[in-house]
Amino acid sequence: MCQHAGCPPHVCFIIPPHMMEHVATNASDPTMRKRALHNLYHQGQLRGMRASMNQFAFAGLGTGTKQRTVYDAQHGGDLPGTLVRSEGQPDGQDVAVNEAYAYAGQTYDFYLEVMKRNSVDDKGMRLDSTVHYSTDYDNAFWNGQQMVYGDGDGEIFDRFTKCLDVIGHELTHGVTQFTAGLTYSSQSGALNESFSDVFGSLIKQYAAGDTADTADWLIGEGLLIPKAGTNRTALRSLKAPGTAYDDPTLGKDPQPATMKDYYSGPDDNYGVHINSGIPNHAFYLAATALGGQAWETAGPIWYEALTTRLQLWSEFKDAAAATRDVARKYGDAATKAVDDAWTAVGL
Amino acid sequence: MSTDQTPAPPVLIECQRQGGMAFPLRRPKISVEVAGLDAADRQALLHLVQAADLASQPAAFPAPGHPDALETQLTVAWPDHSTTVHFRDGDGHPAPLDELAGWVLRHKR
Repeated sequence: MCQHAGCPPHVCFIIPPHMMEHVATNASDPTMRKRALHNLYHQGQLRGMRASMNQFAFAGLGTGTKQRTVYDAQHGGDLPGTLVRSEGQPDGQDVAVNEAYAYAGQTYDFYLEVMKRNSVDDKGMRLDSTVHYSTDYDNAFWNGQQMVYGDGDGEIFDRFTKCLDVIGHELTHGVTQFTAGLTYSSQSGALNESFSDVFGSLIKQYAAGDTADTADWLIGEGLLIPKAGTNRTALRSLKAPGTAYDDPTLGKDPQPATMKDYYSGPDDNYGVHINSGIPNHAFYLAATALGGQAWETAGPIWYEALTTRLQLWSEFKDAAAATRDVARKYGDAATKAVDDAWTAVGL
Repeated sequence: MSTDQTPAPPVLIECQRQGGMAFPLRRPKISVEVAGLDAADRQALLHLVQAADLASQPAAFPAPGHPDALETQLTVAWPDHSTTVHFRDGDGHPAPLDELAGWVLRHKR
């Protein structure tokens, strides 16, 4: 174990970042690349050097066009697993592979066509997904390089590739990583979660052609396996935070809609999935006040705030100020809609 | 060699997962009483516990984890003491911890 002052257990910072970057990008041994990348991740998080992680680690992966790969972890924990599908190959028999591939493509298309962004890094980074991760794995996550999806347990959760907005949510964590870099704790973490929910919902609305009035504003609808006598509608609701589920086994959706019910405890990285209900609801209020299709005005306002105004430790008040400021470019109606929305949630 | 040197088998294994994309949705804690297992399961579990080597692991891994990472709390209780380890997706924890947690979760289904 490293004994250098300042190094956390199992992580040694004796190798300078530029050397580690070279190893992570160019080493022929995959284990060595993985170890170097892992060390850089720790360095970036612990020393505030997020740029080291964001700007180089995927050098060589940028393609400039839509490039998707899907891997199969075969219920193990090693990433990325066995390559089972590359860009341009047709659907196969595996539903999870087909969904991961198709929905990553729809997410890419949304960002390119609506936000003029070329993949999560805006440099055409290849979108890698791993399905069938672990066993009875009830989750999906972005690991800094790729998406990872479990199959669910078949009792509470269905497979995590099932919902376009869930895949959009995970890929938007990648967008945030390459832009504002919002630290995954407390209010900055809740903003990180909220932007993933907002754009996950917008990606679904764009694919369906919904308007703000007709959209369901749910995240993960259908992911929870229905059970008689319970409410297992979705994971979250931007329209009505706190109403997505209510079940004796799962508990009740605790998301607040306004600052009045702000959660200040330590769970969930100080409430990143709880307090995200507040900025989520602000976006919903702004988008529905504006009317039409939410990705046309409200979406770009939030996108510009995320990609050009917010930073590592930005808080709710910073997001409110940034979106209020950006909204002025879109005229009086947008200015009023965004201002009213944040005021309504207590910011 | 005296049988006193053979490590005592655990009596209880508990696994609880929380967090992840679906947080704060509650997930049940799964407990397995070793005494209730048949001989083959008990042997399999013992191998997994030895491979996980909880005594050599930090109580919690230092990495902050990734967005939407799932957190696992794994406790192994022996007759005279217990050890608990917390780990998250992508924090660098050893694979045998996942294998032990997976066995416990699967066993209860």
